[in-house]
Amino acid sequence: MIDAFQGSYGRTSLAAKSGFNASSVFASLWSDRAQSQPEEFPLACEYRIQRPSFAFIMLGSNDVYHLDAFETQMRKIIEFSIEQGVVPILSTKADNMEGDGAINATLARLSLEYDIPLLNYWKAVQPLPDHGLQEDGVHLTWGANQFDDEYAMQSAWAVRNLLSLQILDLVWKNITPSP
Amino acid sequence: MLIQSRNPKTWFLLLAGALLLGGILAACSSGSSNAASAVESYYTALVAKDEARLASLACADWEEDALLELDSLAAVTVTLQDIACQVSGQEGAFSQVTCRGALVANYNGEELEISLSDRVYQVIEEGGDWRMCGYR
Repeated sequence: MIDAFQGSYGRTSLAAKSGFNASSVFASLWSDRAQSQPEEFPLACEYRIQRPSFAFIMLGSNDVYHLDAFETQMRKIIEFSIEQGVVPILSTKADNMEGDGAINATLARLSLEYDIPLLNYWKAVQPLPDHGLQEDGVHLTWGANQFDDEYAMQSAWAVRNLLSLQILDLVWKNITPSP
Repeated sequence: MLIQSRNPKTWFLLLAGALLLGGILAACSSGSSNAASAVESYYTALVAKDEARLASLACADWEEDALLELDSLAAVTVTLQDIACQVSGQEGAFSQVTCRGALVANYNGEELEISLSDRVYQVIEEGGDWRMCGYR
């Protein structure tokens, strides 16, 4: 599986920037003008250029400022991905800045409704020091991607990346026809 | 004196011509200025996160996109850097506007600049006001 997705690990998505929320991926204001077509929004640009089979959709932490818009925008992301032939893999978020877990609940519900994979990242970080969060309660603790290093695996960053590989492997095996 | 040597009819024609030319220039200047100002005002409202003002500066077809742009900035603070716009052409009912300047989005201390100079803005007169109507 690692070999099958070579080229995807190190690149920076055109649909992921600091401060992005679920609306940002549809706002052409944020598009990379050098790579995007006129009026193309970041998610469309990323899918056109990268032509992925799977897309990790890890949003929500920056959506606490507009909770009412989150579900609508996530539905648009999921439906647009499916239309483009991309399997969206949702992920819960590590933080609970909204206070009542509403965003993760929405993500879980949408995963069930659309029958698409969900990485329950929130659950995975619960045993980590400070639940894998920095002092601001939002950003992830960082560690190198040394998955056999006990110390590194105490960081939310490394745990996220290992889990992402594991779920990608699982999904890939399940939808790839056997030879 | 020279003025006394002119025929009054000539003076009348010169005056009328000057007034007509002045009127045309004033009309062009006013329209151009307002179309360009509409884009500047749009971005001023966007960085101020003034939803009502932003909606009032967008044409009907762009209003939903304007609010999406606003929503997309919810997690960042934004400033406007040296914006200056001018009318660069006309396409049907739309005035085309180009700008210089940038939006600077700040997220957790990390700054990201969004150039405003690599787009052509479409501005239309709607309901008696110039309104931003998208860009290419």
